[in-house]
Amino acid sequence: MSHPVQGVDDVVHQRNRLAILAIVREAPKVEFGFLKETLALTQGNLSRHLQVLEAAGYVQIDKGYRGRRPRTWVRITRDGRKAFAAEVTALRQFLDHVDGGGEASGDGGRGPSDLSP
Amino acid sequence: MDRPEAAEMLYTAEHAGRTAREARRAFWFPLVVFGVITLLSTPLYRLPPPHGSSPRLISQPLGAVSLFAGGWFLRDPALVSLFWVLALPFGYAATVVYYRDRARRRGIAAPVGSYVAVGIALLAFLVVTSLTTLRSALPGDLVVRGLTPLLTIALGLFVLAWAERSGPLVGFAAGFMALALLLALYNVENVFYRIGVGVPAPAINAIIAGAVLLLGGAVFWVGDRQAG
Repeated sequence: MSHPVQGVDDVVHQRNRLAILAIVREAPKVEFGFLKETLALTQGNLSRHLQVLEAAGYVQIDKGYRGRRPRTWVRITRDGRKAFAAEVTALRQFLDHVDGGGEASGDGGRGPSDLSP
Repeated sequence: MDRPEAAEMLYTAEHAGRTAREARRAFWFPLVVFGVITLLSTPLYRLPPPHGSSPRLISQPLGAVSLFAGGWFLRDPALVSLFWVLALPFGYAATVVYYRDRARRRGIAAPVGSYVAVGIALLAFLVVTSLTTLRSALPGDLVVRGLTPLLTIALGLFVLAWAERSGPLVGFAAGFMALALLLALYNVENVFYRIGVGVPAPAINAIIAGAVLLLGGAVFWVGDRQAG
């Protein structure tokens, strides 16, 4: 049986990008400003993470205007949902592996259970 | 990767997802809208005069369409159905407008499309059923009081609860479905008469259902305000 870490996707295996996917999978579309505020990221930092996710085909970015104010909406793609689910599964399997004595573990609680695909 | 890092990533994802769900949640609004609509229907739930003529029916085909709600023994069942065939789409349209405006203001949309689609489909099903021989397939006891629209509202709430991933709304939808079935199948005014309280029958059905929807909407609104 392969080690759970082998199931990790480098694009999604990053805290902020995983959190972005966790948010956009909950809604048909999410505005850039909401992500920026919720994740406490700078505009440049969030833009870079979104570019990585968009290049991987995990999110779709739509730009538009509301009145004269530019708005950027982010939507998750089907591949994005699959990548998120795979990452969560891999992280859970890793924790199970560690807790089962497969590897020396650090401190910390079990992962949350409210991330079913 | 070590254990704390993996646990922290899972925690971060869960926390972000929960924040998004709380931010997009606004199902108090359709509860209030349909509560108000149900209360507005109250004057239509009247019995015919004791020695009056039989219930008034309007001409075909509008008569058949507008009798989808049932209520054969009401004073004017056609008017009851006509009210609901206009009010239900209005309620769903108001819900869509509110959710869209909220999405623009808060920056996160809510997946209410399935809720509205199911609500409209249920209404269409009842209307089509009333036009065809399927009409006889509906249990008479269920439609006789003209309260089938409440059942469609209750079913729609289950879909909304699924879309919003809200356990409390599932509980409310289950309770409202039970109430809608009780009101449709039983003369609840008898309960009031037994305890010595006179109530206007059958309008009491719409009053109770509307009040419960409004109360539910108010409770969820307060909960959202406290969470936000």
